Amino acid sequence: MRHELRIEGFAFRLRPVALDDAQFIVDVRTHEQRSRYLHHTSRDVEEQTKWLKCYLEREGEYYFVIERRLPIRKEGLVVINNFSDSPRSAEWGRWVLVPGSLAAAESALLVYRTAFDVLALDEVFCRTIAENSAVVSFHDSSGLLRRAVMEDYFDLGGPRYAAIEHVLTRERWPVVSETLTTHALRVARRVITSDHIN
Amino acid sequence: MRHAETASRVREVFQDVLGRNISADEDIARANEPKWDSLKHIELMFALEEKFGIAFSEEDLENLASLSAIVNRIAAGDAA
Repeated sequence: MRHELRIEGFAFRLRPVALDDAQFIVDVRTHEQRSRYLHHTSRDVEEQTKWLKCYLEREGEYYFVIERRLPIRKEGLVVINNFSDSPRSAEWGRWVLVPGSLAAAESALLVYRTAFDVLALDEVFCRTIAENSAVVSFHDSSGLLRRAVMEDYFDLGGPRYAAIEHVLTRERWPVVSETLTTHALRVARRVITSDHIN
Repeated sequence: MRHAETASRVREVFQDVLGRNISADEDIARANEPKWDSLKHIELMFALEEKFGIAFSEEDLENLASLSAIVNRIAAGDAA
């Protein structure tokens, strides 16, 4: 949906997706190193633009570009959607970064900051293809708790994949925040230093 | 520092961070190692910087994705 949320981090930010991002969305979601565990995305930029126009007109979904602050550079995408009231919760996903990006820790941190500090949610969860071990491990390493394994959950057009659901509650957010902030700061100090040199 | 000694010290860091034994003839690639996630990658690279007294470039942080590549980079003395 149309929104104005911009969440600034140390070296990266989340900002609303716009129609101009259609080419970037196609590029990153169809990259051979990234597309394996994603739903099919057409390489047609006009189709992506049409999809974005529909997204902007519907409610209940915050789609962000993950962007490096200096120099300004698009690093990935992420969405918060699937809101519920009791408890106040949402799902985050469609998380994809360009190969080599150092934005993982900070982008996750910014998602949680959005969820808890801006949207005032009580919990946020994510569902990852079980076979996508790097992302499953990332959530484990971040300190999220595994809540469920959902067999045959993801349908990417071939065999169905099991999903692992991780959850982060407001109570546990300070612990995860500390872990992710430590990593994000380390990266930011290096990224900002190299920007200064360049 | 001899290449073999560098490899041994790099392997020690990998073992500490990834929490498993790594044999001397085992190469590990980020694409194939389940526990080598983005957070572990940062921990690995900064632990290696501390151990060897070096600083990887941002490009190295982004692109070094196997134990052997890291050993070669450090042994070559290209990291500052």
